[in-house]
Amino acid sequence: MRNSTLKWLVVVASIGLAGSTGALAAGYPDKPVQYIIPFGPGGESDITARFQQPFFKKLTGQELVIQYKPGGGGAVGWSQLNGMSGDGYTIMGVNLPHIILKPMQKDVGFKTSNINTVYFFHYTPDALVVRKDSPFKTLQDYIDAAKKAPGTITLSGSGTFTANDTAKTRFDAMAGIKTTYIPFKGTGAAVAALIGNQVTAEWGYTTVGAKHADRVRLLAVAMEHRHPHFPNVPTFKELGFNLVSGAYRGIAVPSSTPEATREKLSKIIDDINHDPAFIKEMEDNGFAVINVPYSKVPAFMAEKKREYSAAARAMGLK
Amino acid sequence: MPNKRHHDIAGIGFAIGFVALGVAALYGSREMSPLGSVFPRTVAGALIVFAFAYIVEALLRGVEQPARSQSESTLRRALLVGCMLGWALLLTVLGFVVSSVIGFALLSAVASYQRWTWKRTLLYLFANAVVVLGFFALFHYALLVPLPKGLLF
Amino acid sequence: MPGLEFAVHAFTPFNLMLALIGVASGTAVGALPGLSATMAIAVLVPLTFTMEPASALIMLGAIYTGAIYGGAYAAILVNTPGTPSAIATTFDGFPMAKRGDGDLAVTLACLASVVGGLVGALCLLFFAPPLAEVALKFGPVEYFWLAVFGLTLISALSEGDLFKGLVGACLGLLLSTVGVAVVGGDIRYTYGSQVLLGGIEVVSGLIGLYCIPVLIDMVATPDPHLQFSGATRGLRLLEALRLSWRGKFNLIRSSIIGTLVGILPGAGGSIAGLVAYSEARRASPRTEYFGSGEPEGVQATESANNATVGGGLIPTLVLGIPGTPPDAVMLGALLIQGLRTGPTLFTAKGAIVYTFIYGLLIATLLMLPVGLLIGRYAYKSIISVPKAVLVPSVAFLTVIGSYAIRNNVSDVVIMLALGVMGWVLSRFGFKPSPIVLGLILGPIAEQGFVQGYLIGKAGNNVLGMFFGRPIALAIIALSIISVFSPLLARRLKARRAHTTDAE
Repeated sequence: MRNSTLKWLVVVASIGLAGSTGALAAGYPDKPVQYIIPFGPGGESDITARFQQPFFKKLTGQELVIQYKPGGGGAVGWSQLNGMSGDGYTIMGVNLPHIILKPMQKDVGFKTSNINTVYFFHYTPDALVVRKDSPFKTLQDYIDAAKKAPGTITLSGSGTFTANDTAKTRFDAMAGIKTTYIPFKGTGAAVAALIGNQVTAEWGYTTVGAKHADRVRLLAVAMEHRHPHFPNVPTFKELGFNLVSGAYRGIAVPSSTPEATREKLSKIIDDINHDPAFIKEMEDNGFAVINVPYSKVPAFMAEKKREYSAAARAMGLK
Repeated sequence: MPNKRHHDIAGIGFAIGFVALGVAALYGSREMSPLGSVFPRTVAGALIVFAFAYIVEALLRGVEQPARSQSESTLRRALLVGCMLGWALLLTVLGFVVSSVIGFALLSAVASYQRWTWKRTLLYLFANAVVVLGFFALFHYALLVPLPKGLLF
Repeated sequence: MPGLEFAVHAFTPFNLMLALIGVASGTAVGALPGLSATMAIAVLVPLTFTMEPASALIMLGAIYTGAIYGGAYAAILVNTPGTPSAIATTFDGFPMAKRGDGDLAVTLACLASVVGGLVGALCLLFFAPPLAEVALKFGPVEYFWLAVFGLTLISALSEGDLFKGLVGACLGLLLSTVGVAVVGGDIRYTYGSQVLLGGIEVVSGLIGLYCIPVLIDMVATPDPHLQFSGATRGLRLLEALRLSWRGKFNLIRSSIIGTLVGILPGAGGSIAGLVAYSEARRASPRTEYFGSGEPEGVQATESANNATVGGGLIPTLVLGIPGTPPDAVMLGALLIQGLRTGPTLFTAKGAIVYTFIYGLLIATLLMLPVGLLIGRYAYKSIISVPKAVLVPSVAFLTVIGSYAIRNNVSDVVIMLALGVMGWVLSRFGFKPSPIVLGLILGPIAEQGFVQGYLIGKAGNNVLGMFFGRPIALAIIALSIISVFSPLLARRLKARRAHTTDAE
């Protein structure tokens, strides 16, 4: 008699436990979620997060509270991620190539494998940007000029070992040219240098083309297909260069977050990503929405690692 | 009576320390890329040069020693620093509000030169509560800053 | 006046209320060291989604204006810049407070801030497009020389010992290299610590180097913190007005300097204040008094830093490139509202922009009564609060303030470490201002230098790059004047005294 009562108790308890974790996941989120951006306010990570805010509220009824933890180009935030509470109410923005390239440098406080990303929801495709009055009308003009005078073409970009830097290294290798990359602190400074005629061109993003449409134009974009907002700009692929890249942004959670919560979060972001109003807002500003849900993240990361390794070696990282 | 002029021993000591710092900075830059090392090396070099210049100047001429008031309490100064350090380190352990209340109370004691009366103590504790809780509310609810939680509040 | 037809929108009760609340809360935010305008604005951005774009901008702009002014309180009363833009206000503000003129200093700061804010906003209204073009002419090289010019202030700030000041500046420059390098990507001087990976944050450094030494000295004696010269003489408004009229050229010149520095993306209120201070010192007949409580010093810095509010909005609205960090947040808010910057903003969406600019002007004017009122109470409370409450309160603010910059406890520890170091160094003649100058100007100088060098090398023209550009040459000339004019002035004075003796 005692044994069966005990067994019964155990069964009930297990069902209760299982049910509660399920209930936890089912009730998630039932309070505001902290969305930590490892950069300062006003940047692309901040803006896309703010685009997501109202849709998150509409979908879940809960607030998405954006906070900032800048430092080290994102490294400070990512190194502290796994120390945060894993109840699903703390999430952090992550960026590629940063989380792959940064740990290759020195001890930055985290390894790529430490970061548990649940979704990559967009990227800002790399683009070669020039002033409206630039003599380069097509990508070929640019390549010819670079071949004629190696190293004299100056390009601004945001930071070192970032997406801009990587794009320049990869493209120069593909096209067999030599150009000079001038790193600036942030996209704003890089664009200012371009518009102010301090440099010849910029390795920037499609977002630059959207924001400064009155003063710049794009020679090519690094996408599979042309960007809806820029129907007249060819892709690198069309012109024979297999360059599909940019700065990818996603959302990660602390490593102690349970699987069920991760899946739930991934589904919510996925739903936001399929909302036509969200897509339109992102595209109007030059962003490119992509859907890499939790299940597809490992394969995606592996592919990106492969892509970046040659460039990393060329930049002296490995 | 005019202040005695004598060599600024402490200043020279510090200058020697800065020369050492400059050398250490140069040493620390040996693994940097050419672009990344230009600035630190130039600055470290300048630091060494200027520190030496000061040593030479200080040896050549004396410096007036400013009159130090006798009644300065070094103990209280050290206590202030110690308390604040403890406060900072306990933020994540005890949580923001608790460590701040303790820190505030301790510093109140360190800074108080008046006699202890019950009335005064209560007043200070009241101020303590108002300041700490008031700003906590401001930062937590209005500015949405994630203050350290720790074990307690 | 451009856009006058939209000015009436700025006078709606709702917008007026926003301007008033914005300025008042902005002043409070700015007065607390560690709380920055950027933080306050960033938090309020979601609130603006439900508002009209113009109203949202007015509120954010009012907070920004108030915050830049509010930084003067802490600078004057506790020798700690409430915001980096108030660094130069400590030079003369705190000495004024120590000798009992704190209330005068606060009132002067208010008047100067209003003048500066008006000049900046008016430049935004009338001259935004041409000034934006001027901003674009500033390349890496110009920024480098501007940083060098800023560093020549060391000679002014060293209070007698030039080499100690230079050593301090080099220390600050070295500290600014800690962390990830923008050019080269190296991770420098972090010794594996995650804490230092983010570098040494300017505001941490400010609070540590300025405020902690003041606290340490406050507990050392039972004397009151500030001299209290008898009965409160109210705000000393008339006296302040008289001084402001006497210093009108100083005010106008400093406001213009502030606007011009503000239009340069990346150069913020701190640099504006420093440059204006340097120029005011050079041009004033009372040069020797600067640094020991000369009202002109406070007037120069406060008008310059408030002028950067309007000035910084010029590249932000015309080019879409933020002039200062709060501008970056406001730009983000604009984008989310669906507004594109550029010429279309002023034509197609003129209603929004002009309503905003007029609202900014109104907010600046409102700062006068609001600022004076708050100033009166701030001064009275600092005077009358006993040290046993003042010291822990200020200490608490430094802790929460340095934490809140990057939501990182390590910033608090860094702040303390720098504070102790700053106190020790200060005792032996190494003042904090050159160190802070180095910390702020280091990144600008380094990036300007390396970027300029790279561009110059690509064109095989490094020397021409650094020494051949007109704006750069002008800045170099200013730097040379700045370094040598105090020496020349002293020489001239000595010679004049000599000739009068000889007669």
